[in-house]
Amino acid sequence: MKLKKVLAVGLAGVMTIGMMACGGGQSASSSGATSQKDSGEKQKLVIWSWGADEEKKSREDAVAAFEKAHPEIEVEHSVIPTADHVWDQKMTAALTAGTGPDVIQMSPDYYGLYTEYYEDLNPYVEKEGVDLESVITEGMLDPYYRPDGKLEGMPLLQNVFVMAYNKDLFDEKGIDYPTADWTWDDVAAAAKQFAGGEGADATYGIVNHWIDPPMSIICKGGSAYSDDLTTCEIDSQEVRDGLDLFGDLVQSKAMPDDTAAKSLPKEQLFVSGHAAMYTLGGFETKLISEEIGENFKWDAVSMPKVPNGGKNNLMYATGYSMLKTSQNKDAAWTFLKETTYANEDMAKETCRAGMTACKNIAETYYKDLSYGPITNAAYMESLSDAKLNIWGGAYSAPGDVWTQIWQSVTIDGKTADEAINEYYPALEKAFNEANGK
Amino acid sequence: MPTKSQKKGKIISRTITYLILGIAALICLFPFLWMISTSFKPMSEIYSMPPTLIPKSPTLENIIEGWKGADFGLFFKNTAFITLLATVGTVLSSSVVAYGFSRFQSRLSPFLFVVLLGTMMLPSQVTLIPQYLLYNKLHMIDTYWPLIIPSWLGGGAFNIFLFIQFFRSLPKELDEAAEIDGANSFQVFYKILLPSVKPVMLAVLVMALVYNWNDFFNPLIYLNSNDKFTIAIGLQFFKGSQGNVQIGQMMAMALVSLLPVLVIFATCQKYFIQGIKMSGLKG
Repeated sequence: MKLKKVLAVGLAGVMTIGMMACGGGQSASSSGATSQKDSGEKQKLVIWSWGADEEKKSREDAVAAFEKAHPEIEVEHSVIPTADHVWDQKMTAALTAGTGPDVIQMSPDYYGLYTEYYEDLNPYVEKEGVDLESVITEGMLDPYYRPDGKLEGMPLLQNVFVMAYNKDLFDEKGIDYPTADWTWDDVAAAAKQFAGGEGADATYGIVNHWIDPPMSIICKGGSAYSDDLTTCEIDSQEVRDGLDLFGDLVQSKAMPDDTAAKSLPKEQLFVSGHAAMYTLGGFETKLISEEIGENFKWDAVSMPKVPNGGKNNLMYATGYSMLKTSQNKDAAWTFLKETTYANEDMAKETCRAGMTACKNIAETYYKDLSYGPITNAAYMESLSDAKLNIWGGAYSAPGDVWTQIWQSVTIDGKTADEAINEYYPALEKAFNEANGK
Repeated sequence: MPTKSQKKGKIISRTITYLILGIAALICLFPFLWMISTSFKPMSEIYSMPPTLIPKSPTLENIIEGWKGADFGLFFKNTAFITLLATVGTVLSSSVVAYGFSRFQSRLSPFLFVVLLGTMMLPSQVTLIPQYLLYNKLHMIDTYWPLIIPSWLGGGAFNIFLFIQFFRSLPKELDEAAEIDGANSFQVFYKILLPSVKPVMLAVLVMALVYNWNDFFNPLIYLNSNDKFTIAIGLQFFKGSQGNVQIGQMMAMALVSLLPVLVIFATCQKYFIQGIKMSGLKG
């Protein structure tokens, strides 16, 4: 009997706590856009960012700087993890149901996938009377314009790559260090000389990186599609040559094969001195530099040149958009402009995760930051040669087919001709479908 | 009386059986052991070649940094709160629903039972969007309600099915005897039947607890504010957008988050197995 009483009281307690706590914070932290309060009260701004670890801290500190500058705006900032499509699932559900925030992080490499949910920012820019080109880091703004002229977001940061190399390994082999004049053929020729050993003692010329599949498209001067995004251009000799180059790197063991690459995080092969070269992104310089420490001497040069003098680098860019459902658009615009160009404290915090869109800070503060032997100036110099991530957002379906082509060559050992001949029809179909054809 | 060769054969057969089981157990346990090992390794050791299972320089840094790095204290509190309410709800409501199905018959009973079983075959992805829209209409997005309410409204077809199987194994004479003594249907349920189904209650409790503790997708979809996030979401904060992973901290926090569930499972394992077995669901 006593047990039953205890059980009843316990259950009542559980339910009471539930009633009190479940809705707790609903008014203070409601989902989605919230309406502006009467004058005199703070405007409320809900912001969603993505990130983890250092990236998360960078976003949080940037928003904290914004809050400090704007005490009249009450900010509710959520940082959501992005690995394993976590962000995609969350964002898709919220946008579809209209429960998104006022301001949401995005990437121009969505290629218009969610643009219907984003406010056109052109009227805000016109009202502001600002010449964006003069205040935003060169080359960062253009990707945010849709082909119809809509400005769907404002840039936050972007990252490009350099070719890092282990000086000690080059010295041991008596091979000249890479230079800015190297092509991918030079990289491949040098990389093959480092191949050797087995298992845990294996050494490689160059480490795999997740940019390799798109890099193989441009490394010999090819392109995935035309600049106006209308024509698929994968079925070209340049693309086949680039794909064969990477296939050859794997077959010759100058680059780890699939099994070896999966046995260890790829960058760890470089960090542990088992690989001579690594395509180093601006977002990971600090981490890699800390992990290498004093273990060996290293440096970096710009990415290898491509034969026709075309773009030889890939950029990963991110910014913020204002959702059409936002009911605090003035506050949202204030955040967008400050995060992009008008708040130098925010820009400095952003520099911890990449090259800020704030031109003044990028060209002074960011440029001079160094990690080990690498100065961010190296990334600044590579900016004009970078192409936006090829297979993002709307082009993820053709990107999946490209991955199959890539795997056919680098895992199954097929030639580029065989792989492209087999999969190109599917890729072209997926590309055309992405373009609504 | 078994002969010497029969005895020898039995010993060999048992040795082989235990050897196979031991190897299988080791294979199953290896990821867990690796997680423990990685939790206590410094970064430089995690990726050292050849890999080692026993850390050479054990450290608590991963646990300390991981805990501080992603506000895990708060995530623990949130997860415990959701798990407690959802688990209690699951046990209570699924037992009530199962009682109804097993003891009361109407013309609609067979149809309703088929509908119940049908929900077991429906992938959660199918119901996700309608549910999300429903909770949005009810202004319950970014609250814990969507994570708890379903547990109090049936608690899942599988749990109900477990209870039904068990209730059906109890003789109806028990109910009738109680009714003769003046018990109403509710009293029959909680005074006569419920005390008899403790093994199933514990089995459902453990399963609901593990499910709710580890649930990643529902909190991700329904919760927006960082201060409401759960452990399962928190663990994702160790994986960067560009593929970089703080593996030591992630493993350390995964280990810490597993401990409560492990303790409960280890304590209730006997009842858990018994409950599954007595419901006739064990192979």
